[in-house]
Amino acid sequence: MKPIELSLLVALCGPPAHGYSLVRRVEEESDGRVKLLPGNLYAILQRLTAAGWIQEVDAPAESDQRRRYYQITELGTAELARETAALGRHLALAQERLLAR
Amino acid sequence: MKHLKLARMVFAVGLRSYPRDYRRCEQAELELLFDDLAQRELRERGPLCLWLLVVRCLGDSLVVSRQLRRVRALERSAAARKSLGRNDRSRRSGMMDVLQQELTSAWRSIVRQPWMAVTAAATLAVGIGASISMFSVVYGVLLRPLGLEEPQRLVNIRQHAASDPSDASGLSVSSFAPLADRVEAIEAASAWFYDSVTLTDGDAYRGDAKELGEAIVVAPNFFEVLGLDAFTGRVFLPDDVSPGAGRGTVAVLGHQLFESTFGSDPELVGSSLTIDGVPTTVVGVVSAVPPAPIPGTQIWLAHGFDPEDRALTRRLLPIARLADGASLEQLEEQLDVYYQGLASEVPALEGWTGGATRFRSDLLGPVEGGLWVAFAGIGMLLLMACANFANLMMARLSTKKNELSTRACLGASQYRLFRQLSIESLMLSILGGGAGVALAMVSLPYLVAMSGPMLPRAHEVRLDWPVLVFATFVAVACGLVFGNAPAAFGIAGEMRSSNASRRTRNDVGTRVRATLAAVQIGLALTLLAGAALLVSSFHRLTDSDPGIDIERVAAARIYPDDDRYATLEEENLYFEELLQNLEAVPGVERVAMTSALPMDPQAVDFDLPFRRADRPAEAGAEPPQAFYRMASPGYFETLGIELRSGRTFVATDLDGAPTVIVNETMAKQVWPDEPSVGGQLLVGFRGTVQYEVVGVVSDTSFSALGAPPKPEMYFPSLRASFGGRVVVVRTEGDPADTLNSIRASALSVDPNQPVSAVMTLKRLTADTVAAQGFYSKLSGIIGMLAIALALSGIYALISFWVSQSQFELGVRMAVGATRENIVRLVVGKAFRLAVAGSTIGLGASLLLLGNLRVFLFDTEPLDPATLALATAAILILAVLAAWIPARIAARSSLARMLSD
Repeated sequence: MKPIELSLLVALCGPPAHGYSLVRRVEEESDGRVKLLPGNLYAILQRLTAAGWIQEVDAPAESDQRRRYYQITELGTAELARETAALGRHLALAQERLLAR
Repeated sequence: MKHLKLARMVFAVGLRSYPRDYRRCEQAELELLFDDLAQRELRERGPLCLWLLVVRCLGDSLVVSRQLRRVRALERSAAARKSLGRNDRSRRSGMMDVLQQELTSAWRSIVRQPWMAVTAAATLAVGIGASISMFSVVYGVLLRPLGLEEPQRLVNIRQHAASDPSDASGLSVSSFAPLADRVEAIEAASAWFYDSVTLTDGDAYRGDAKELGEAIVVAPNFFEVLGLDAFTGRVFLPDDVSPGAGRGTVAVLGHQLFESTFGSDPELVGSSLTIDGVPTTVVGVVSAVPPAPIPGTQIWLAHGFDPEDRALTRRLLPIARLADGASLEQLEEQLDVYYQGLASEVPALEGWTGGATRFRSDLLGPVEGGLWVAFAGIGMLLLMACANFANLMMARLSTKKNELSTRACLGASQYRLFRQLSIESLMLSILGGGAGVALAMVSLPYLVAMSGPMLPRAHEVRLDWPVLVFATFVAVACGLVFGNAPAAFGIAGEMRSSNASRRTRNDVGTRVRATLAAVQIGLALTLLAGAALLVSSFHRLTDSDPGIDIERVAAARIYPDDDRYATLEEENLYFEELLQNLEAVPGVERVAMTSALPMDPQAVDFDLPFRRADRPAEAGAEPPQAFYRMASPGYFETLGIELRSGRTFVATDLDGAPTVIVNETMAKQVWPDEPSVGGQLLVGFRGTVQYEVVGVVSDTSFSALGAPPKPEMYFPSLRASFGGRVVVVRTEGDPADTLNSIRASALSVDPNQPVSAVMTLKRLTADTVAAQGFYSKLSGIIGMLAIALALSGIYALISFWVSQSQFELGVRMAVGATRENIVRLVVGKAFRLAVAGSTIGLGASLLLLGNLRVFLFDTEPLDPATLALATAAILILAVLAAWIPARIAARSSLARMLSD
């Protein structure tokens, strides 16, 4: 999984979100390091949807009905958990080796 | 908001790069997201960051769309392999792929050096934006077809005294009526005159009373002669008003008025409007762009000219269509014969003849030369921008030396590298062109507003297809010629270069860049000197003494209605009452009346022959002529015209012995060596009445501010009525504040007598020099832009040289050069460049500035002081522009300089 895909899955773990709120979430959660542009964002969303990790959902009531909302699927959650566990193991290993130096 | 709208448009164009089906699904989403991002960027970081976002998004679209296409191509070929067992990729899609690959790679290369790209595109944007704006004006005013049938056959006809062809006037009804019948060279003739009308109400109009400004009152065959058809409804028909019937009850509106006041209501045609208190039927709307002799005219009224109507004396302006095959010369010859015939019927026309001029040259001639010169100035600006662009492209090429050599080593052909560089420069020039169009969209309304009343057809100036085609042509040409020249020049050398030859190549490159910068400085100097000349000339013009006090005077032009004021006495009574009424208006200091104001383009103006009563008439010689003016007692005081000797008019002059006051020019001409006061004049063709000169007054500008005075005679009262009079009012405060009271006061004397125009003298005089004002402002802007471009050119060149010469400068410092030495070295380089450029510029100025002579007032086109000042300014600014990179160079650490 590419880092940007991971960031998007993390961002989609919360309530359903549309394009702009995803851009903002990813930006905030990465301390402004990751800035998504429209073309790239929708290409990734399409890939994630095709993989079945996220899905389009109905727009929540009282929100902008013109926009498309996305949410993580169970498959996506499982994939995220797996990826996070793997990353966690890597992280622990890295810390251990850094301390040993 | 303009930025946002424009950014959206540019982004939408970028979306075109996506495959169509993808676009269909995602376009709305992509646009919504872009909108949010753009709004945030504009709100939080300003327009510049917004445009950077647009550039990034365009790049993003290109990259993503390419990925998408690649994935699809792979999918397609996998599917094809599966079904056919072979790869069946078409040659066409292969070429498209290569092209797209080149585009993407060019885009990446541009984005890698964003500031270089932004500077290059911005430089071109300035040049292209300015040229598009000016081209829109030139195209809209001069080149766009007039929309008339064979406009080259249309001529204006005026009459003038045979002795003075320069002083043309309108025709009276009696001289116009037989024109078309008696002159063979004329196929059809019509005539028109100006009037100011007020719209009060009507079926289709329930708003407040509205001043419609200048209306054109025309003979019913006017549109037929022009060959102009109605856009909706019809134009006038001969039956609409019969000859001699006076103003009819039908009107034709212009498209603008139809849209703005009546909301393009189709019901308007056939409905009735109350114009000047008369119910008038709108019969049609003429096409969007009828060329009007007065810019902004939007209403035409039909009129059956009455030969007895004194208000039309010398006021009709005929327009005629030449018979097939007839020439202007033939027409003029026939007009001579025509006037000789008329003189036998109307003795007052003895010594008069007719003159004809082309309609198009009358309408556009006064601005044609100026607009082309301004366009040439802008062309020089564009050349400067292109030189800057070429310089930046060359600098860019130098920084890509390694990349190019590597690619050449890996097998890229010369053609391939050249194509890559061409695509890059084309992309930049098209970006610059796009930004230029955006700049033009923003600046064009200001440019048109700046032209004030001088520009005919101003409403036809707009950014439309012909202008955009021009813009595309300019952008592509700039990219291909100025972007590719360095590429073509550079590649061959870069590819084959050994170290030794590269050194030579680099020197040549530097020399070419320096030459380009010097040419730029030269062009800037010429443009700056031209601007300085026009600006100082305009200041001299506005500071020139018109001979009257224009600060606190307002004037109202009134053409007394012939039906209501049939005799001169009735007319006089009306004006007397009006003057008394005006004196009572608060803020009014004094009032007076004249037949024609100085510098008034619509003055009823003519000159009369005269001779000294104490000298016998010379047989056979043409008598001298002077302009006729009526000036009521108090006129000279109201206008601030100074009395040189004798006295001004008093009330007793109105019914006492005939008296006249002359201006200084006339006094000097007629009585060169003796006092003119007390002299006796015989005035008129028959010259039976003897007038005593009671005073001499100072000269006034005649036709426009700064125009030389002409001999003038002032009489205290009219001996016959001949149409309009002008009431002048000196006010205590700003005369603009009293304009409404003046109009109200006139209407209180007679609510049915229209007031043709109320204006301040300041406005009137300013309008006479509107063209010079426009050229001076425009040249000022061109001059400023030229300086900015030249300075950025020098700055870029020197910065680049400094960055490329780090090692050389480091060695100099290592062997003992001080920081001052380094600054002097770098600045000296710029100074030498500026001196070389100034020499080119002075040469170009000597060649070109002579063309400005016709636009200058009291200023020599090759004024040494102006040229010296402009040169000094360019030299100083060039040194300043080089100062910054020089300081940076001098402050760098020695270690870093040597390691580079």
